[in-house]
Amino acid sequence: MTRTGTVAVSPVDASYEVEDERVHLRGSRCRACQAVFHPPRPVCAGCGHRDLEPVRLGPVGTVYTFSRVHQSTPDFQAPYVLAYVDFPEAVRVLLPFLGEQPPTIGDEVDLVLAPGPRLADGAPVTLVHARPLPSRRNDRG
Amino acid sequence: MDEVYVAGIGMTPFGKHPTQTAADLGAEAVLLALEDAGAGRDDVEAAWVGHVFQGMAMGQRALGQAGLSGMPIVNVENACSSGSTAIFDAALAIRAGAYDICLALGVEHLSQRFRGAFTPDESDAEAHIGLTMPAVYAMRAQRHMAQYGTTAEQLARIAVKNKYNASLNPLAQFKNPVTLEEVLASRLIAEPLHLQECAPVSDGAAAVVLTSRRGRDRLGATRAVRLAASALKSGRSEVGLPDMTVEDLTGRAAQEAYRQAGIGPDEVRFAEVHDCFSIAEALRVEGLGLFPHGEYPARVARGEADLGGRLPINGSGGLLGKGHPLGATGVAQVVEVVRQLRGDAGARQIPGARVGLAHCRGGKAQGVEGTACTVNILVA
Repeated sequence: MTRTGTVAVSPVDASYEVEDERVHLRGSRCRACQAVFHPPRPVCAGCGHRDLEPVRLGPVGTVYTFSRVHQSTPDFQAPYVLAYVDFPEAVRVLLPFLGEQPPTIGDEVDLVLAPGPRLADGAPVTLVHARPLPSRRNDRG
Repeated sequence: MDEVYVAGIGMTPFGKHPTQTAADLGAEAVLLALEDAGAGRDDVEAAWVGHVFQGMAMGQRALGQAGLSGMPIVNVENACSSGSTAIFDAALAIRAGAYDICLALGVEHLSQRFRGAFTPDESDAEAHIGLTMPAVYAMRAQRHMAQYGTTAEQLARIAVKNKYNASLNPLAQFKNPVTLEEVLASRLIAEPLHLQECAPVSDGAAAVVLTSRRGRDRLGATRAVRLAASALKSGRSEVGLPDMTVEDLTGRAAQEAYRQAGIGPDEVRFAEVHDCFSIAEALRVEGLGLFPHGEYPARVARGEADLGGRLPINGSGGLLGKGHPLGATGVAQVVEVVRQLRGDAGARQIPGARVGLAHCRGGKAQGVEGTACTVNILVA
């Protein structure tokens, strides 16, 4: 069974799907030049073509870069970790990283829904997070 | 096409100005620039005013405060490049032959509006995840470190250099040099960047009088400096998996500016670049072709970018030392280059400087590499 939803605090926020407990991001692929985008968009930013098809990203990607953020705005609870994750579909997505320990470049991650650093009315907002693959999680004890 | 000259410069001190409004600061810079150019208010045929967060009709308020009204006034918002885009626009109008004497002003009053980290616009999904401007550059720094062996110490040395230069600049926000140990001991903002590696929240304004050759001669502005190039580009949409240590945007703006000026990067003798963070200075000068890609932090550690070095970078103190009132920054960079080319830079004077470059690039919009980037080249 497929559950879909929007991690919604804004109409343009990241959308996702959950199938068999696995979280995927939703994106779009240009039918002309095959470029992939997340969030989905109506016009290809690469070639200008207007015919894009839905595509699912993940569930596994690779950490391109990361940072642990210590100072943010009052809407966020620091510290938290952010990472740019590269997916095999050749698209890079910024995601919060689960937990307070940063990854290293090249780590494999999958996706999970979890309370994020953003607060709304004092409570964390659920966001799609990157998390280390199980083997990596075990490494960290 | 007509040649363009900077006939007059003016700048307020950068820092926290709780008792002055943005209009006060803007008017102060305008009056200084007019005086420097030997221009009266009726000489100004049109004005462009760059700012980011100052609200409706900032230009009319600032110029009105200085006693200027009635001429075409255009308010320009182009993120951190707003002020330098005002220069680009004014220079374009002069080159097109529309005007002989124009004003470009950059102004920003932030200390009453902002605290802490800047974030992208709320309409970007990335803002809802917690992306801050320091985090953007911290993540680029992590890549520079992984790809080129750059160290946190080498990055911190960029801040040490710029804050030392600022200590020689009476208009800079930071008056005191800092040690490497002090930079590394300041609190982390986004790893690996420390507080002292981030540009401060600042208020300030800077203005230039731009003229054609005819306008210069009409004013009798004998100390005018030629604006040999003024280029503006915007960031391309990001498709695929680009290398985040490469500044395609800076590179394209630089190529256009070098073409206009008829020079290559090897002829640039000093530069003011957009060092909103320590790592940003490295990304800029490598994108400009002034230093080999990946090598800048190590070369800073060897003194190559010092005021007495092979190619001084941010002799004014840069954004890290001089301060960063967003809209004013791009104009202030050109003001500094003119001061150097006139030989008026005092304790931070670069001897024999004849070709200087000002690079301004800023902002963040989801899906594009950067928002706007200007490169101005001035020749004595």
